[in-house]
Amino acid sequence: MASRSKLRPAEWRLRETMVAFRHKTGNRETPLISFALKGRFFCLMIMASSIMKLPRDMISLIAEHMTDPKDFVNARAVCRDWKSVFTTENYSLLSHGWKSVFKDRIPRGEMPWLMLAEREDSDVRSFFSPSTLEVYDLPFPELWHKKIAGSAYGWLVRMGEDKEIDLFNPLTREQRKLPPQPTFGYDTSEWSAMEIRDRFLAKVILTSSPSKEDCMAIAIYPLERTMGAVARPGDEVWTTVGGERDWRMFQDFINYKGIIYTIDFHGWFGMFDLSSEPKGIKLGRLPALSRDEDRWNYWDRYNKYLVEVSGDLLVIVRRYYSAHDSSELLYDDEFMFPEVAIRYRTLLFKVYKLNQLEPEVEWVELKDLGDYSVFVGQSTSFVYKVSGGSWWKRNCIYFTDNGFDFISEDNLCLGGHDQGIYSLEDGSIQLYYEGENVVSSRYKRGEIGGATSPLVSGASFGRSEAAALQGAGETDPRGCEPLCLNFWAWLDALQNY
Amino acid sequence: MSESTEKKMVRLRSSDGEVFEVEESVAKVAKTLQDMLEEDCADAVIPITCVRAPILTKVIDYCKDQVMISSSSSTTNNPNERTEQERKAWGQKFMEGVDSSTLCELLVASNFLNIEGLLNLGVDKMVSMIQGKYPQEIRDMFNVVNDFTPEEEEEIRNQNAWAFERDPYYKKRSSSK
Repeated sequence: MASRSKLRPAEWRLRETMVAFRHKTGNRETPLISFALKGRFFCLMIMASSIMKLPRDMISLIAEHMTDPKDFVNARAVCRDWKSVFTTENYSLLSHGWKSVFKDRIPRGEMPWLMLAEREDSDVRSFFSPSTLEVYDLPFPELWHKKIAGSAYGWLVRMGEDKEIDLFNPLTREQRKLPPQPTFGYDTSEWSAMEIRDRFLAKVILTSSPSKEDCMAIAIYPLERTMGAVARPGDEVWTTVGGERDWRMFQDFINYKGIIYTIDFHGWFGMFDLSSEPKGIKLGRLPALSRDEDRWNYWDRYNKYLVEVSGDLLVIVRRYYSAHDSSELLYDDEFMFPEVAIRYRTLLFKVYKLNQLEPEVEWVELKDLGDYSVFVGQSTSFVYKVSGGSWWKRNCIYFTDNGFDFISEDNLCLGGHDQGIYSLEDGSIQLYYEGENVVSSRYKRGEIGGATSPLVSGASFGRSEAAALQGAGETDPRGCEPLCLNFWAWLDALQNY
Repeated sequence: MSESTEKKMVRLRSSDGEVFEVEESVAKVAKTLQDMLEEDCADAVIPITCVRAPILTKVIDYCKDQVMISSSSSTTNNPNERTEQERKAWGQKFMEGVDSSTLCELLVASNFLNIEGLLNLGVDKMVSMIQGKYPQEIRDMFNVVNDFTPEEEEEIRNQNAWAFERDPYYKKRSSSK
């Protein structure tokens, strides 16, 4: 045997080995590996002589690892070969291509951009990319004077003064209709059109991508009462969930393993059957955070979000400082508009993991998210796995503002100022955007009903800790005017090119 | 006797004919070679037909380092064990100064030899080299010929004009029209 093997040229053996190896690993998805295994020797030698030409599979591996849409778009424009790699549906930047890189169960949307407030006399919208710290100005007449009530899977939920609500994909510019606002059956007869636009929808959550048939939109409305209603794209009316008296004060919904779960202000966790007649069951409560939690006065001191992280269902609890009379309002010299007081800011987050559902719901507090970071706020909550070499911070909570201020006699307060990056490791809050277009120019001008000093939010708190600037589409329950429109948006796109 | 089995040597020949002698454990970091060595042909000179000597040197450096880490991690208190951060820093240092053509060759080599860690390092480096670059810069870097017609290129750019706004090359073209 040994002598026979000596007679065989090493090349031959190597090739045999590779054929055997190909069989062993036939199911591997890595295009690169399969390239090597498929290669015959003469192929490899040709490759060696024109080594500067990157093999196609290598390019697609690069495409998979790319995290910035701008780089992706630029790479597409290099040559025909690159274009064909950076385009196929396998690499739709945010929905498919990333799966091979981020193998965990991620509800996609790995690329959040922050959409900033609208401008006064221009339909250009600015998008801030936290990964590159750049601001991109993109013309979006479709978003002009629209309230953005949420974002998910690369789509935005928008509502105009005409009371129409729909889904809009900023990259492909597709639209999917949702039922209009009057079909909620909620009495807004005394509200102005602008009020309805700006303070009716608190948040809209999508249970899956609008390109899928099972997509449902769950609306939390109006701002101060937070009831729930559900509709599918193309439906005629919104269907109330929970009933106006039975169960409301919803704070978030999630599609977790095919079932819709919710968490409400009181910490009640439950599930919904939204198939035809929506039915909800309360399953259990979160452990009380502190004694004041249940008191109505302090109801706005907590916000809760549901998110799935590598198969586990998590509740993210956001604790605010919250002023209840004008003496408690916050001022800060470093404000963009120092005369403006604000009512709240985020103090800290806590994370609970659903440990078991039966026989009774049990939660354990998590102190560490590992390589994951969570995005909460006005968009559908989602998670991002931070890979090596990424600009994103791991074990953090990226939050945008989804609270709202109020007007007192002396002070006008508006939302949109409370955002940043919370580190679970040391509890610090860091600003991530502090630039222009944080607030809509309408507020700066003071076009807010009855208010003498118009104004707006936006500020950094102190030196080391901070909350960031950004509008949020929230308003005061007692009738103040709209806030700025913005949210996390991330691009689903490129797949249609 | 036991020493000789511990330090079994393997010879590798690069595409330009240079022969490298490395410990078997080092060669086995490459899955392709490992599979081959398990078929018992360690006494032959293994031709690595698509890898030039300078690249093979780099690959062997990487493999040696992997062997050092794994051998020391079995002992307690080992000084060579690296934290995530150190690993990252090491990877960056390893790739430091690698130009685009060497990088391409390294990628092809690690792909051929099936060294996943090196492949990942290479791809990360590649992504970081492309990051923030405009099409012409990428072409220059990787010797890629622009085979678009002007109309095609215009169309691609228009699809996502926002990404090219600050492209100096692009501006020159459009203003010359």
